[in-house]
Amino acid sequence: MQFRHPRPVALLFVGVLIGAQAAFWLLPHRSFSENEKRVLAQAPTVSVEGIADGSLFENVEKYLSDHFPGRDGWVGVNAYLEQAEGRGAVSSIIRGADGWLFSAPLSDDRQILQDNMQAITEFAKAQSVPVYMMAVPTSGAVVEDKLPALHLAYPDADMLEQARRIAGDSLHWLDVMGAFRSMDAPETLYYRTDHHWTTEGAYCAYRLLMQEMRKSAVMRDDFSVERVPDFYGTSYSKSGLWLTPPDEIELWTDPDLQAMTRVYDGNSQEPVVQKGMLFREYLDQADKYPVFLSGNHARVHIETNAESNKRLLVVKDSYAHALTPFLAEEYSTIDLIDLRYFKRQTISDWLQEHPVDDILLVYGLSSLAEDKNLQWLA
Amino acid sequence: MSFAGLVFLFFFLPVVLVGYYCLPRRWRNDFLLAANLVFYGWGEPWFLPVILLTAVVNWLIGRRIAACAETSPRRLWLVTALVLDLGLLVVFKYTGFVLNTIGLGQVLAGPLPLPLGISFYTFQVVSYVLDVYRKTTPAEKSAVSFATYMTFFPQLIAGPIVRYEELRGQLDGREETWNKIANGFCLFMIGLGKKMLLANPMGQLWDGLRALPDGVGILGAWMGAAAFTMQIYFDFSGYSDMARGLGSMFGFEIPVNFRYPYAAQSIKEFWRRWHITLSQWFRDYVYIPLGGSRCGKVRTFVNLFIVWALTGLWHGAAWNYVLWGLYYFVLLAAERLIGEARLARVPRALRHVLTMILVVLGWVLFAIEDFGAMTAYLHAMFSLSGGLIGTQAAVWVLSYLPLFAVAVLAALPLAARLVQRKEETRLVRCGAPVWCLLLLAASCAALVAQSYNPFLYFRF
Repeated sequence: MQFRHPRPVALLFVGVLIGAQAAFWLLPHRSFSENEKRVLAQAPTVSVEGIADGSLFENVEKYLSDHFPGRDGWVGVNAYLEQAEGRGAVSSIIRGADGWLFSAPLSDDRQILQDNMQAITEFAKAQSVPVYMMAVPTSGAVVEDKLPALHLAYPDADMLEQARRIAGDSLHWLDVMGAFRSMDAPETLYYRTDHHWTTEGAYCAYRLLMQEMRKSAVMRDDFSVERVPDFYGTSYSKSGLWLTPPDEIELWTDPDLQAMTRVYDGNSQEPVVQKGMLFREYLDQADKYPVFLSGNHARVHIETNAESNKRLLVVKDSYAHALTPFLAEEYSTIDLIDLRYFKRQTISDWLQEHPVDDILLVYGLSSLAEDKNLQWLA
Repeated sequence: MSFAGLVFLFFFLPVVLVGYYCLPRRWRNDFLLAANLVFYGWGEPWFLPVILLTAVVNWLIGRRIAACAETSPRRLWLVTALVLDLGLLVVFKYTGFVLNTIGLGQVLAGPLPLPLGISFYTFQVVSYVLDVYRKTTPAEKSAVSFATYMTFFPQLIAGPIVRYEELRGQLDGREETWNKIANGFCLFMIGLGKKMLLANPMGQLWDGLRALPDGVGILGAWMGAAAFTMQIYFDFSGYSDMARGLGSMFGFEIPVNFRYPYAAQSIKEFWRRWHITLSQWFRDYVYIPLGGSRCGKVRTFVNLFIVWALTGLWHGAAWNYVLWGLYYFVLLAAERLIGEARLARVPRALRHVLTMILVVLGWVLFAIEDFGAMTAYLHAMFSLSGGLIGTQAAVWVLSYLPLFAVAVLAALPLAARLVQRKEETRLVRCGAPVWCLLLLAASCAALVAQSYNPFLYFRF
């Protein structure tokens, strides 16, 4: 077409490109992305090897995109555009009603789930102490009321049933899904912006465990509840839907309970020692879930003043973290082991040196269906 | 380097553009050549020698051919150039394919690396030496001008295939104007938008439907094929638009490569609108030299067969591309046998729909290299055994339906015609740049989002 004033149009376009580049050079670069929870790319160094193997070009591209001006803003624009186009129904985070962000349904490939359940079943059969297992469904399968009209089906109930059938009577299977579905207000059991269960959800699971053990659970009135606002969870970070309102995180504490927590990581022998089970420094961050046991670690060892004088081993993913304060009411010694990071020995070997009274497996269904580290049980 | 990337968009392009216009005219071609080489060498610098060798050898041979008066040395030089150019193409692109076909696939440890754009620039230099040989164009005197033409970054990687003849005058006598720059930007951003906002999402729909484990149903299968139909058009024509836009920014006029092919009412018309520069190349350098349609009916069909088998093979080194090419041979031969007069009696809308159904079917042959998977997909398109549409497929299709509708509208010339008719109005004159900037913003958001990958098991 023939522009009547082509010069300002051309200059406008060039100006936009140059402006974006100028912003890249002038604005300060972050080293860490809070939303992505990862260290951003460092300025690449030019070297002959880098040019020869092509890594220099990749690093430059990574660096530019990691530090692109207004990066998170662009991610948000893209996320909301996707919503406007209607494509949100099949993306990795599904936006529901009232600020709910659900993880997409798990893939229907059941191979890893079967392998994991077989490994668990064999492990459980080899134990002389009782083994309990909690598999936590994803929020989309429980808080169905808040799902958008158009969404892929959640296969959780079917997958859990399959898992339970494989386990047979080798262990005590706790029907978390059933308990959750029978609740009046299932939306209190999960965070809106995070894939984890809430403290309420964990408490519900704790009661279920006590029922199975034929013990009485500590009543909810015995806990003092502290509410911390402005919790932006993993689903929020993944979604790019930055206008979603934050969650509240509830910290339930029993004033009479005393605990000492030791956190062990893969290689270091020296644990991080902390009084109590809450790591309050994480409450200052956007993602506050690590307030429970400070996030994922190879092994966490907890000693409490519980009267029982019993020992518990929890083999788990991060769902167990919010549950642990309740378990601490029942056991004087708890070890939590995360097989994604605990690589020094198998659980069976560890148990030889550290005998326990009960074993509890706590896994989100997504780990059971996707994480291959459960093969390290035996 | 890819056009659809932050490095190109915000770093390479403004630097090259500003540098280009800061230089006096006589250095601009040298500067462009340097930019071409940086563009080409970015990411895979070890292919630079291959393309430089091709450029230098063909330039030298062009000069030789032009300098000789006798036929036999001219022919010798021509054959040398063809053997070298097509030889490199065959070696890099088809070695694995040939070895696999004759059962020696294990000889190669892995696939040979394919120099970027080799299919495109090989065809360009072949057209050059042939034209010089046929004396339809003089040989380029300046090595820099020739190399600038051959490695011209806007069309180096994905076409259009621009014949030297078409750029010759522009290489040393082009006029850069503000209007060309402004229009170039608009065209570029429209192309970028086609790629990022239509082609990529349509590709996601196609991939998503294909990944569904238990069948998509007959409707889902057609929808998947239609999504791929949209993906490949917007991808390819988006790149062509970007190429033409970039050329325009530097004062070049690069020929149109796609003219709304999905508005075609016959297969013949489709191929006059789809990847126009490639069809012209095959017409001028294969079909017509073979005798075209002047040597009798049988010979015409043989020539068509050869052209379409080669066209298929050019698109990829696998048998499904050959099948796709021959599919078009059959369709075009059938149209030829039926005759245009009889075809014209079919109502326009019906012709259009039939053409599109055949084109969509063709893309299935094109999209799926594995013959087992291809026949399974075709079976799903023509059998009700999978039901009308699977539940998961329905969710995919419904959620992409609005965008698919936009894609269909954008693939037809309706909007463009409307804009053209109103070109003089203030709304279009001021709206066009704004619209292009919006496309840029949305594409930029999509590009940045591609690199956004939260690491959720971070260990604090």
